Amino acid sequence: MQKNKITGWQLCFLTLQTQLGISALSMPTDIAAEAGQDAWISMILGGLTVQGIIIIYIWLIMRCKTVSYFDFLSMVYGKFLGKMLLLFTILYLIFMLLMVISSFQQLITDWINIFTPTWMILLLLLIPSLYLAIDNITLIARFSMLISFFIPVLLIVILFVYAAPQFLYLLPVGSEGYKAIIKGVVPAVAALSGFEMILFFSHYIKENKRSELKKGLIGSGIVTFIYIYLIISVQVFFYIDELKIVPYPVLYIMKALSLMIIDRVDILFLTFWIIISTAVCINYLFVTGTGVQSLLNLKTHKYAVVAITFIVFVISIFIESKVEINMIQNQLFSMLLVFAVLIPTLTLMVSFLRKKVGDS
Amino acid sequence: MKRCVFLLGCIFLLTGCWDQNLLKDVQLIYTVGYDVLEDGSEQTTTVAPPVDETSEEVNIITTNNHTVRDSRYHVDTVVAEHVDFSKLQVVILGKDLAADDIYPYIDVIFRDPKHHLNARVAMTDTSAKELLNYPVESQKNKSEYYAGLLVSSEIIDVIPKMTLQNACTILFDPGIDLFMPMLIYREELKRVEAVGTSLFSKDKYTGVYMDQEQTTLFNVLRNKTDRIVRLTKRYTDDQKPEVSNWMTLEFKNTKSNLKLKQNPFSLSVEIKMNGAVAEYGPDHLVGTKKLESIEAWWEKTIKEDTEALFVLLQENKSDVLGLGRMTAALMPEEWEEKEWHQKFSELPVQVEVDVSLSSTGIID
Repeated sequence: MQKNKITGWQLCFLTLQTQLGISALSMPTDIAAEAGQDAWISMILGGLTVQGIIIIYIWLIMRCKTVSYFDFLSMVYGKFLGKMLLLFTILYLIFMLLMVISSFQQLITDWINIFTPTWMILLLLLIPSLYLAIDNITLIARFSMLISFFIPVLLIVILFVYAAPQFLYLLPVGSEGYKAIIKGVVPAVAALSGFEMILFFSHYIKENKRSELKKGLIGSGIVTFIYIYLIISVQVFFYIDELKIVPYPVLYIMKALSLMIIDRVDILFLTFWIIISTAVCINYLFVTGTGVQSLLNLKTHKYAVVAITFIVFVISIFIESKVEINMIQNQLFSMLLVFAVLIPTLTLMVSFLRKKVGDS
Repeated sequence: MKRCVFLLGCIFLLTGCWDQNLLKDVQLIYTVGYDVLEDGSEQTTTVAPPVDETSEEVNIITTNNHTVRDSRYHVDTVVAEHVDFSKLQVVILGKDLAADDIYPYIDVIFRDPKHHLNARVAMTDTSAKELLNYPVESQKNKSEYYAGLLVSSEIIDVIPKMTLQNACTILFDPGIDLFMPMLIYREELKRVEAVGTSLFSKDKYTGVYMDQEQTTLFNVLRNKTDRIVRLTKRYTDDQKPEVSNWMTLEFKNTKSNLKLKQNPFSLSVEIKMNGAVAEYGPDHLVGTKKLESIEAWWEKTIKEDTEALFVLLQENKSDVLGLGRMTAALMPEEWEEKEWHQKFSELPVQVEVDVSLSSTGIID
């Protein structure tokens, strides 16, 4: 097996894990806050929007050829502007990392380990992530594939909702009006964030690029379906006003469950979920590391990853209150819009105008 | 060097110690009662199981403070251990509290991550403190008695199942009113009895409860029946001994269909019940025409009972069947949140009952 090379399916799982790990547990509340009981419609629209964005990515990546997106930036915009854009992209990725690990820390603190200091929780997440992130992409991709058997666990546990579903809570369809549904697309797309991984990982695909890249679409498609399923499950369980005040509705459902042997499924489930959160952390650490490698023309990304881990750890210690974390989470969509949508689209257009293609 | 790294790695295993929660350090509360006193302060009564398997002593503590959380902290200051609600089985609300707005009192339960949301909720016609302090002659210790009582009554459908999570959803939903099992102390038995279902209008107790038979019908109407649906009625008047006048039916399948109709806005109820005669002394029933007349008689009786049940609900403006929810979902043009209770109390109801009896048990 050749190193630094991934297959289409591995790309699919890399994006899928990243997307799920960021917001699967909390996203129904965010979307319901805007779209009310039509949240699931917003999710469908959000999923379609993301599919559109990924098609733009694939187009862009085909023009990059074997060059990575990071390197392609300086090819298209020239050395100075390209490096500046790359720097900002790296800052964006660090922002995402901060958001992921502080949300994770908040979840663990709120839900299980109330007395454990936050720096310890952060450390326990970052150390294993660092260990994998300094390795090569093949290994990380295999890890993402390996842990995907946790996803059916999530789907099956939530199935218990359908013992006594209240489908009337979904009716009448469209009662919130099209304005609310369109508004809900914003948090829906934010919930799907992580799809930009396709942009950063796809140059590792070496063979049959065009057909393999399409599997990236499948990854995001699967996530959209999982999210629609989760939203509908949550909606037939909670009354909509109740849903709006429950920050982790998916976990809350598990908390209300009582199985014969296991009383608190949510706590058991969270121990699985920590692994998916770790995968997200690994993916972002790796991508940020390769970004810095490209910025500073380093030989490997190893030291860059170590430095970033350290920086992220130090900053995240100071992010303590829920208010601060919410503030960061609220910036997610605008950041996503700029760095995952506008800049890649602009890059694609400029590369057409200046007739730049990777490898040339 | 290797050993050093190994040992360092082991340090991380110790991080779990921050959140250790040892059984010897906590007092698990199995049953809790909440009351509101005349001055508006809150009174919490906690019942913890005996520490020792052999002893019968349960630990009943009552504290009185401004808020639920306050009272809880107060409990902590009078017991040797740390009070822990993570294995809570039953929450009992006193009558005065139930007649008040109940959400603020149970809010603390939903907010606490350690809390058990599957605990059952019930109310009593006195104060919860009184109920929990009555002597109970039960083989089980008192802390577990109430949970066992509720679960076994749920199985025979004389009370509805109501957990904290269900109650929370209902409290948020304007289209359905709260209901919960009613517990009353029986002096002569020295035990507590689940007598039926208390009716709320919005989140306030109306002062009325459905008896056991009405609750069975109520469970049939909302299609939430448990294992046994049983009805006993006086079928004839002239038989001797008196016991022969009574007939008990057990239903295997029951299905009810509630349909809202427009022009005029009304409700049609269809109940299908399929069961067997469980007890009727006088006659052999198989192969005779009698079965048909018994079916017809039961259809008529259940129809009357159902109509009476709807009158009771409508008089008390207690929409426990969630017709408001149905209206909001299926006929949004008829749904007006503020006027719903008025509209509900005037809703015409047509009832149709279909009873079919298939067997008579293991003897003819």
